[in-house]
Amino acid sequence: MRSARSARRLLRLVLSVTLLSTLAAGPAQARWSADGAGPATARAVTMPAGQAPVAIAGDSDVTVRWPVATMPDGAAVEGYRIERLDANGNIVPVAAACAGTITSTTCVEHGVPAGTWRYADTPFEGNWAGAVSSSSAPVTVAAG
Amino acid sequence: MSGSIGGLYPGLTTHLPLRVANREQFAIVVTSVVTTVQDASPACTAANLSVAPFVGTARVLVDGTAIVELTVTLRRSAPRGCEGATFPLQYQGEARKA
Repeated sequence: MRSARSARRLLRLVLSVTLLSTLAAGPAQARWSADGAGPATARAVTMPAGQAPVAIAGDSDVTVRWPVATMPDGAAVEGYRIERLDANGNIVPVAAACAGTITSTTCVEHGVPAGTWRYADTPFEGNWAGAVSSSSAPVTVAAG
Repeated sequence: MSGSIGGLYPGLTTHLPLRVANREQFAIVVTSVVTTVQDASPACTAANLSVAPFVGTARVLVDGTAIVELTVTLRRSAPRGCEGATFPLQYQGEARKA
């Protein structure tokens, strides 16, 4: 009887893990309070950096293209933000077609003022942002 | 029980392979595993990560091991503070004699 009860008894496996490290900067340390081995963590990635775009100037338009940025599993990031820089490296607001989060890897900025400009891109995923890319080679939009 | 997962980013759902070892002198059947997630940091709380419980059966022989898969999701709204963060996990399971 006792054996039958014992056979029906649920065996409870409890493993308590306390990991001291909370950020990915260093390896986790663990104290095990029960038999067991190995880590017990869920680790998030860091965002990929943007890669330099290519800009081609037309008549007051500039076409900007940039390489796709991917997560470690190969998935493309959900979007990019584009910035235009003047000759002094100051960020200048871009026109609507290149403003906000862009889900493709190209945009055409219309009505670009005459001058010499560079472009850069930043990958986004949710609330996360990668490092801004290096800037494109300069392009010159001639005065109309 | 031991198991870790990496490669998480906002909105990603993936599977964590959890290794269950049996050190009893008889075979067992694992019937459930519940995971407790701890804060990765003050800027990245446990609420950003969900790990679905395992409910099913997984037989583990004497001195043997088995793998059960847990479904893990990093919330799409996870803040930037979760980038590169590591969540400590704690597993608690139930098994019966096979």
